[in-house]
Amino acid sequence: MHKKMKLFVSMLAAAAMLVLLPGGNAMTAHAEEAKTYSIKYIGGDINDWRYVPGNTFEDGMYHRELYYLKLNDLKDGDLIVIYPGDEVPNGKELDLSGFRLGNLTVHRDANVVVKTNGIKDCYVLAGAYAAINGDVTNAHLYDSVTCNFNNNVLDMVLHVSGDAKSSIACTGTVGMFQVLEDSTNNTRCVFYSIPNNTMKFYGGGIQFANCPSEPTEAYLQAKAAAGETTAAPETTPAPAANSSEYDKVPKTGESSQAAWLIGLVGAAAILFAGSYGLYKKTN
Amino acid sequence: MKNFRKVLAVILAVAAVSCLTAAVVLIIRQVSDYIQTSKDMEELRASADTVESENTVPDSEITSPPESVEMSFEEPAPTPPQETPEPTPEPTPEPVDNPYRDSFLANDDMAAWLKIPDTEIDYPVMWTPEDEEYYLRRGFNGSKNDNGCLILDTDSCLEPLTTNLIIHGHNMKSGAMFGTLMDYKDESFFQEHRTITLYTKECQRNYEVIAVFNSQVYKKTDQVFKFYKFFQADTAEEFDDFYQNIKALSLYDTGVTAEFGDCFLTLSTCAYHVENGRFVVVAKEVESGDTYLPIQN
Repeated sequence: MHKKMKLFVSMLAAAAMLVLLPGGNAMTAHAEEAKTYSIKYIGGDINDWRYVPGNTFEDGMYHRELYYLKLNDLKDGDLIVIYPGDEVPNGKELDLSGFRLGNLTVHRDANVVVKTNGIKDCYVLAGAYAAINGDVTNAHLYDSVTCNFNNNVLDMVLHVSGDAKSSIACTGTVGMFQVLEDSTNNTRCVFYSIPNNTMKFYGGGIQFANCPSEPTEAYLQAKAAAGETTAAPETTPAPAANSSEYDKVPKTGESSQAAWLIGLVGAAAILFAGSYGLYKKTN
Repeated sequence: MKNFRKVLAVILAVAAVSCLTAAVVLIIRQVSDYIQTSKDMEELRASADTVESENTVPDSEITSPPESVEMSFEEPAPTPPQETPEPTPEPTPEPVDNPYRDSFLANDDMAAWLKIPDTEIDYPVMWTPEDEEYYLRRGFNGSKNDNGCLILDTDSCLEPLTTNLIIHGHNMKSGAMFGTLMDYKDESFFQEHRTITLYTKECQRNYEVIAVFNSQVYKKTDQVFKFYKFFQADTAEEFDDFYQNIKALSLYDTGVTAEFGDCFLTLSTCAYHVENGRFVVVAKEVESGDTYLPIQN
């Protein structure tokens, strides 16, 4: 009987240990949707990039520091819209490195040097002045932009109407460069597999040696690889209200520290008892 | 077998010591959170007291009107008869320094300072629209703290002012944050603490408690009165729906009434009468207090 009791205590102690293993009782899963954030340069006393959630950034909106976005909110696949703000001083880059964006839109007349870990869809609107760091899968530029891509671009489309006025350069490779007449949707020209650091488009004309006008094997392979690895972030449709789901209201109860405290002390007592029992038995 | 038992005994002993250590760490963390909150708040309150005393003009500096006015013996010039005397304009109170200016300057996220006179509730209210719960487990300076801060619901807004401002706070056993809000269950406590003050950047807003009730967070599909869903009343119907519900739920009659156009302040904390319970104090805005000078660095 005494032996059985000791065995029971030992088993109980082992069970308590398992329960108290970190994370043993917590298993959560998160599926996060892509979110949109708008960013603008604010001068004056702030003199820095600021952001607001959502796709508008109007004057007077409550905005926050960029570090806060990177620390708490931003994740791979999110959408960023850059709005024209106050004059950006030299060296004030928009540093989003560490994140691969689902979409980057540089708004009309915005001026930005942006650092990222890559962008799936990049839109540079007319009048924008941008330098983009990070590989881009699809770039759409609307005429009269000044834009430098400092890494590779897979597909680059320049949308024009009338004479092209943009200045574009890419220091990486460009898989495909197409000039598209927006009103008729006719392709003015298209080139594939433009080598490293040769893509230049100034004054309405290409400034690089002739490249194939048919898709190359290398391009098709790159395109297929991009299709596999850079699929658009799944935007899970908002689930219909689940009958067991509660409204979202901040939980203002005291944390369960008291329960943990009692649990820990109780477990310690049981473990000591088990240990002592075994010790006595061996001697 | 003997060796195995010995090893097991040692493992259990080590685990027991680890449990005790974890318990001690928990206690130390709880105490240090409490001390840190108290210290931070004392500093901010002291700074507010200093500004308030600066705002109060000492009696000796008030220039009293002369006791006797010299009478003029000259004939007064005839004044044209007036049909209706012009109303004397109310003297506009001069804006004064915001007593909580140092706190506002210390943290941009602070939306207001909430004070219920003669209670422990005397804390900053944080507003982070992009992450409502940022300060739920963080102190005023952003460091981890189980007391958290009072937080203004992200659907509430001070500028422009929404009909209802909802403030959430932890119900701490230590009494910190909204740990003493439940005292309002007692009607005599209400009688002694009818007023609540909210110091915003622009002005001092005064409120009078209108209803005190137990409620809960409901399921999304529940078709019931949800106090935490009311922020703006654009019609009298919307206003009356909220007003009639809070009056019906109130634990006692406060004798305070409201009508469309009035604004509310709702204080909410966790309660344990049901799962996801909430204890709620609603106050109605009454005459505003001081207006404040713009806060500058």
